[in-house]
Amino acid sequence: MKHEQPPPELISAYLDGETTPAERAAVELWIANSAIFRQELDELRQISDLVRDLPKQSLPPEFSAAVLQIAERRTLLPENGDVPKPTRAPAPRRWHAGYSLAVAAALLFIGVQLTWFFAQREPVQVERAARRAAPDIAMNDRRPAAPVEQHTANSRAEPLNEAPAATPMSSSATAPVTELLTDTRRKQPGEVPIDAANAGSPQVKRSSAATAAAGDPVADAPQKSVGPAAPQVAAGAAARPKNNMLAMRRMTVVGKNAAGLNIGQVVSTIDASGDRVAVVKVYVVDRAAGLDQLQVVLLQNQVVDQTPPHRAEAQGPARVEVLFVKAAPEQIAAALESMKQKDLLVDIKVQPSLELATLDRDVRRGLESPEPTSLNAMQADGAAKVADATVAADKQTPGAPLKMQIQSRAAAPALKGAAPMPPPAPEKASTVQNESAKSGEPTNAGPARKDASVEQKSPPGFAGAALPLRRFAALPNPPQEARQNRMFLPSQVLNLAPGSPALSNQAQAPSRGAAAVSVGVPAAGKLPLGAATFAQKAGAKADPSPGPIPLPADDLAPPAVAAAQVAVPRAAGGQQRDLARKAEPIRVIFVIEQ
Amino acid sequence: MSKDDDELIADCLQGQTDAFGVLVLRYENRLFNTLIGVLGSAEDARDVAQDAFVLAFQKIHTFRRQSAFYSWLFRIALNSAASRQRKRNRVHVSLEATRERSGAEPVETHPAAQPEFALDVAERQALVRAALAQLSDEFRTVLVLKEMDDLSYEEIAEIVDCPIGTVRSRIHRARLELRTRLKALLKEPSER
Repeated sequence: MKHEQPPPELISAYLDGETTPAERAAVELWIANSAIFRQELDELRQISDLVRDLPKQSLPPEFSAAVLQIAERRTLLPENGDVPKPTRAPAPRRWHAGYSLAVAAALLFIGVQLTWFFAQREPVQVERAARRAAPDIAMNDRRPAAPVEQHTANSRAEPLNEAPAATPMSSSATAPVTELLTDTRRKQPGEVPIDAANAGSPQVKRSSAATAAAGDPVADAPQKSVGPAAPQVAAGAAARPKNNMLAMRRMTVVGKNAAGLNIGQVVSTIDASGDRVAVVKVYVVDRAAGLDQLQVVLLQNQVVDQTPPHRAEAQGPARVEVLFVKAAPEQIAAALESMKQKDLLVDIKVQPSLELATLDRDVRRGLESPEPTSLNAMQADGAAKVADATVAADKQTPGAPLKMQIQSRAAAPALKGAAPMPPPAPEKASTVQNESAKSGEPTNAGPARKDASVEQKSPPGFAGAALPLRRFAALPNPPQEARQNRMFLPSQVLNLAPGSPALSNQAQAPSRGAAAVSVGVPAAGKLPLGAATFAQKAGAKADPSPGPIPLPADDLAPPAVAAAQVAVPRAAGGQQRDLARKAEPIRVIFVIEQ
Repeated sequence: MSKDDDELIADCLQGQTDAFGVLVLRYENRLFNTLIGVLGSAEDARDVAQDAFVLAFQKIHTFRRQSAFYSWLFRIALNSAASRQRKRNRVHVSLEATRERSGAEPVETHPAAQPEFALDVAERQALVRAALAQLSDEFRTVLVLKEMDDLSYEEIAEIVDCPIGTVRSRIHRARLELRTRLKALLKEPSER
């Protein structure tokens, strides 16, 4: 009996069980009667087995999390990072509108400080040891020993700013910025170092926890005083007009003089760009991971109008990503809370800002310098008035009046043309004391110096800090006095080049236009391998002129500034290795416009 | 009790990102391995898998549930892979690239092609991968989907967007090509 041969592909279909009953019957009949057909079927089955037996591989455990993160970000942000420009009025009009809204339209400034546990463990351990050894000068001794030593060796060729070598500033040219800060604080009479103030003061522990928590994010996490932060933000929201218009700016800072910061270190400064004074602390964290996580969290909380920070285009030994977000404070509060819940942050607090009007007049003058018109003018007018002042605050119990010692060396010539400041509100009148005399410590010399203390209500959770005031103004050369006192000047960090767009923008901005800028750089030695490599490479390319800093074209126009506090993210064990490979510093600063 | 795909998709559409995470976990390795077979490179497979999941997340609202989620996902992956290949201007996997990636020599020149050579498992697998890589994209894709993913012809047809008869034909011809290339690995009935 002769059987018609079925179509050849029917053999594979039969093998795969993809035949109809009729086809199956036909194939089986053919198999039964043809050895050739049986052999072909056998060989095809072997081929099938060979492919099926290929070993299976598994994706790394963090794949799914990474996918989700990318997916969320891409969903909420344009892929190419081009965020549509916020639909809002031009800056000048917005500025006037902001003034017309007066107090209601306040700008809240929050510095968010992130760091990865793995990246800062070693420096923090040193830091904590130093704190244990000398708690009263904990802040002064917080410099990481080994990594900083190694790093300062690298940065020796890059002295901080152009300070003369004979000055104390230049002598500390190899020190990280944090050292400058701490030394500055040490020299201020009557001031209370922030960490020293924190010791034994519950509400101040949140400050030291910013650094201490890095070693043990859980155990050392400060008391969860997010409470004060959220209400603060919420209160601001209640006072402001409804404005969900979001805007965001970004800035990448490249500056050789920022060398000396380890990932995990914190740099504190005060932003006094509006009628409020804010303490801003920022941790240096892994750049890529920090930004990715931050953006996702922000977007998850409908803070959708962001400009993605610059990525790897910046070259140089130091680079900072500054993320400006303009959003409703409740949105930011929700985002920050989410970051906590996602273990990105161990703790985060927002310090309430200080009413500038309650400060001493001279101090206010120092903070409200005339609108900078040019770099030279800023140099000539004794720019110390904006940076050469220090706020020192005693440790306070929650709700107790906050005493602040303010040392101002406002340069009189520069202030002559300044508009007179309104007198302080009667209910917040300053109580002037001579803290220098009280402390008996030598004060900084200065022709126009005036020591004063300002008393005002300290909201719960707020702890004053002995930090140099600064204004967001590019000061290419710190005044001699500031150098001697090792003041933390923006220019010392940013090393802004004259004529850079940043300066131009600044010059065109309203006098109170402000933004916070600080920098960070990974130090070699104690950082993860990737970061150390980055630092070394960057150091080799040290460029005395870091180039333009792309400031936002329009000003931030903050009529008020609030404060910042710290966060220490925990990195899951599985992520640490991956993060370590690309560890870079990052400072993330929110600028939140209400 | 774990949720099925439809439930997870519904959750995802309601904003529960974690639900999509479950889907990723459920299918990531399956997709990854299939893509290795299709693309011949674990690195490319990982990247394409990531792109596919991200795109799926972004387009989840367009999923009409007329097919299995995995089929839809793999179709996205194939499109993504094709897009990547277009960008690379690399239509076919070259022998040189295969050799570099897999460490396997082309079958014809490999001493293992000689019958007297007894191959260990790793060598056999390398040869199979090399032979797979030499198939055309059309043949390799359908064969891998069949052998590695054990998809039905109907599902494969849906993924590659062609009639079932074409799938059947491609699978058969792919096996015949592999048989030719892997003749040395095949055993006589008496050997088994």
